Amino acid sequence: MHYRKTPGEMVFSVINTFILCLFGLMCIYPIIYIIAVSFSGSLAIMEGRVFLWPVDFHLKAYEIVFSNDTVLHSYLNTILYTLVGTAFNLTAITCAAYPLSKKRLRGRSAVSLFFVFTILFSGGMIPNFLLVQKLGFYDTMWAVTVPGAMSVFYMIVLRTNFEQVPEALEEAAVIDGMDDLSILLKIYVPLCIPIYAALILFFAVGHWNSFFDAFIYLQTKARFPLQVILKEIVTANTMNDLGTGAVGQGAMETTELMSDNLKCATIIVVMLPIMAVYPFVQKYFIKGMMVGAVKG
Amino acid sequence: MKNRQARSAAAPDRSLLRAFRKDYLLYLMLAIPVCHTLLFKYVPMAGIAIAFKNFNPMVGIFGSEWVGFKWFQKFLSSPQFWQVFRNTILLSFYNLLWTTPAPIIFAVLLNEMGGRRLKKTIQTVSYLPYFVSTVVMVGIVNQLLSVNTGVVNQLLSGLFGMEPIMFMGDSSWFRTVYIGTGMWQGTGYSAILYFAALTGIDQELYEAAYIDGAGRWARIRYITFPGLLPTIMVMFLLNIGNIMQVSFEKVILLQKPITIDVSEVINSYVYKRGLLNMDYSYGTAMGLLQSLIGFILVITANKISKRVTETSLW
Repeated sequence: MHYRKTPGEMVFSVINTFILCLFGLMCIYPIIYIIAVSFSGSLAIMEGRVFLWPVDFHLKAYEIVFSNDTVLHSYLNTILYTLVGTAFNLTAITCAAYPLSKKRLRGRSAVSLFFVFTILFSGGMIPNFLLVQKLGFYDTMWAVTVPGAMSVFYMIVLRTNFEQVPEALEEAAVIDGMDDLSILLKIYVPLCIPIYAALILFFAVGHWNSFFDAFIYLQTKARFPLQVILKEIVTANTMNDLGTGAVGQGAMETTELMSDNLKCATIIVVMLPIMAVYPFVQKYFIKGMMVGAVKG
Repeated sequence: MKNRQARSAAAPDRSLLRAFRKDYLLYLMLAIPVCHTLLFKYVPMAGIAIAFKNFNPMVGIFGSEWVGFKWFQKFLSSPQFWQVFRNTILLSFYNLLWTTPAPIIFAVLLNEMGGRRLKKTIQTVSYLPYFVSTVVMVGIVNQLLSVNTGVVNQLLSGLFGMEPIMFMGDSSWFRTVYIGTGMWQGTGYSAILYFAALTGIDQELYEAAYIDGAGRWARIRYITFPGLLPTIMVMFLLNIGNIMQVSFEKVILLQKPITIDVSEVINSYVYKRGLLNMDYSYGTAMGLLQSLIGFILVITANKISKRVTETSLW
């Protein structure tokens, strides 16, 4: 249906479009600015000549970041934690969601309640910390991957998806002599690939971006993930504060660089994987969010 | 049928056993997350007991002596209590005041806008900041608001001839920065829920209203808004429940020693006193008090909402 517009409404349309475009720009501008600074010369940054586009383009900051052992090492750590953590997440929620999606299962509602209760109540930071310490996870990669493996919210999302698979498929498989585990792995999981894609993305981004667990549970620098190293770089004033010694000659120049150029380059390097996949996967993000919202 | 019921009632153990044997793989599967949740969720809940004990890591939780409400009394009578309590409430309250309407307004305005491609582009761009990590976000903000080189201060002095503002090192700007970044990260993402609610509104309502002579504003006021109200209320209630749970990751990253009078919230104080100072019992007591207040708030808000708008969380 086509609505005829009054002159007032026409003015509204123009202003509305303008406001929304401005809002869209505001969402993306900080990232563009950081990219511009990361490629700009330090003099141009100091004089405030960088707004949208790199001024005095160069790649020195990226050369320093990529030749810094601490950054590279933490990059590998983050990749490892993301892979292991996501694998744990998927295992935990699948093992909970699949049995709970079977209406015939005895004790189904009691177990569901057992999980949902943990959304409402938690022990808090210190009991969690003491437990991790007691288990001997402190300062190991298990501290940042194991305790958070179970996500009740995404488990419910997955369970809802499993429930929508026609029961006839399972019955046919039982007649063919398949056990529950092979039915899950060979029938249910392949049928739920789209939701698994969304879940993998959610978990992986969560692990990539997570900071606090590593911040309180890890102590050895060699085990730090990217976000913790980035925090140190962002709050540090010179590269020497990092105590890496990777700077070596031209320390003066590098110290100067550290101020803005280098920080921005590190920020970009940390964000890069997410920004690179974002255009392709954002529709899965939305799908995952919607599934959760509708079934709440 | 009757016979069978009687039999299963007579031998419940056997039928349970049979169910268990038939689905033993399912139960084994389920055992993994159940054990995990028991260990990582329920054990820490029991660990709250140390809030009522004088916890000594040497003798363990069971060996430590009970002290009743000592730590609660200590916290409530300490000079820091009012400061961190007030900071927590104010930060959350202002945050709620700004971040609740922003996604609603954004969703409604975008819904009113023509041009499908532009609409889609703006929507996609709007939830990009959500996927930026807190540390990266703080890094970006530090750059944007930097006193010497930040683009915001450059613009302010270039356009209005203003003196540079110490956004990051001034208590009076802390809440603005906290809320501003929250809106930057969350508006587009929270709006997704409202878009979903908007697509659920019957288009015929709009057509009927148009034929009856309702202008754009009247259509928003009498059709769009009532259609969104249940979603708005549920989101609002959930946010009230989190009012005590300030994102302390963000607080700890944003705060500077100079802004501590405004930026120290219960969470960050628990972290510093409880974990860094190793006052485990004291920290746990503070955390428990915080969750209790949050719990009371959400129950109260839910009751009020049930009476006023007939929307409730449970």
